[in-house]
Amino acid sequence: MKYLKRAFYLMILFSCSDTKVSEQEISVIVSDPQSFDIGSLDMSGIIPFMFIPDQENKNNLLIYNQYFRRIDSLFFLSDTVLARKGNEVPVEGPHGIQNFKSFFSNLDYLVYVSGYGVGIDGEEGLEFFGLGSFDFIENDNMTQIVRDIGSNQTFTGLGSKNDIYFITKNFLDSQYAINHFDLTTKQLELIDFPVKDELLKVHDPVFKYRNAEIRAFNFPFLLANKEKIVLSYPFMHTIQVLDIQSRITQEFSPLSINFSSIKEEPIVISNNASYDQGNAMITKWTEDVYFGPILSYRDQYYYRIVKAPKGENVKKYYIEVFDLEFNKLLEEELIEVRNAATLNYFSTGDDIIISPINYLEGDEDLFNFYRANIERVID
Amino acid sequence: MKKLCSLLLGLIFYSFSAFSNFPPPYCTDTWNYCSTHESADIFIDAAIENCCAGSSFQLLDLCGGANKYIIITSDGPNSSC
Repeated sequence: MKYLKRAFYLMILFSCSDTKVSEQEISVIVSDPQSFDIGSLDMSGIIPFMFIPDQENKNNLLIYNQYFRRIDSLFFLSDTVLARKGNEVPVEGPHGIQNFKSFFSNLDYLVYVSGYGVGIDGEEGLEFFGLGSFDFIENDNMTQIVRDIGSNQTFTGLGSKNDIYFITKNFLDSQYAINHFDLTTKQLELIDFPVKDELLKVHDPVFKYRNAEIRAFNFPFLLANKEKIVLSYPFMHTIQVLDIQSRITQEFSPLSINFSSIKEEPIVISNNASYDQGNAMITKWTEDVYFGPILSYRDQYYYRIVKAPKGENVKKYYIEVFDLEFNKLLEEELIEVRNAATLNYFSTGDDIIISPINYLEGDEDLFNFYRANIERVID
Repeated sequence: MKKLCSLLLGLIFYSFSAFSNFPPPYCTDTWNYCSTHESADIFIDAAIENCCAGSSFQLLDLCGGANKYIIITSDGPNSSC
């Protein structure tokens, strides 16, 4: 077993490399600004919402309407967006659920993911599988399913129809784990994955305030498909890819021209620091470079949007595009969204949707966005 | 703007009025605010008073400030744990 472990780590070591520059030339085409009337669903264009692309047509989104606890639909057509009201999510009764952080449909049932477990809503009602019901989860009320949702509130851990993947964190010892939950057998499996625990401990800006811990989001991002689990970090450029079949991990460190590859470490503050001191420490760390979640574009490319460190009153966002082997193909500023206070982005079946949020400006009944597309440059 | 305000105020009213076997919604949910326009301090203080150990909630700052993940480490003095 000892030798197997060594061989495993050697495989990881040999597979680690800086991302090569690919010869494939591409460009990112960004549309003119667009908008649609999200007020017709009684929702707000400036409040992020949970959603999941429909498994059969990813241009259709199921979205959670938090004002009316409904699952509504958005249809991203080529020239417009249609909205339709859906069914209520009950609080009580056989299909009732109080709170959840993500949801999706695998066509057989609706699945809710909260910080504390997974709820499967089938014909006979909702069955909830709390993390504490699995033997290997320690400190179950302090171990939670976590994800940085600052840029995107969709669930990206749906590997295949019955396999979901998510990250848990034990807040007592700061250990992370990658978990696989089989929706058929209802079993949870721990995946052997070299999560960057030490760096996650360093880049964990947290302070104690009365009987609470207040921290910035530093949780890794997880993207799964049938073959791969992709893990990335909001505070550094590193990307780790696990082949689900072979269980071999590769690591990539894409180089950047316009921003540093890692945030500066957070300032260390004393245990009896004030709320304001703690808040200032978190704010400084947050304003440094920020790597958004990696997403897939039409199953042909991966991409993410990086926020450069705030400077000279200019806020710049860059898109990084990778091929399917994580060779970096492009790094380009998204000039259209320069100075957006916050930026959400996600993929539909055809487009990348980039939605700048300017809270203090504009009509909140409108959801404002750009469509971006990755195209090959033809000589 | 009305929707954002109602979200924040709604949960505060709820915290003082609800009699429920379930934890108050702000102990487990995601909440949005704008740091250049309003403070989240009253919200955090209410949660600290009323939530049980292990509760966690998220504050998203829509005006570009730091998003926060807050975890309650011991039962709040007004909680019903």
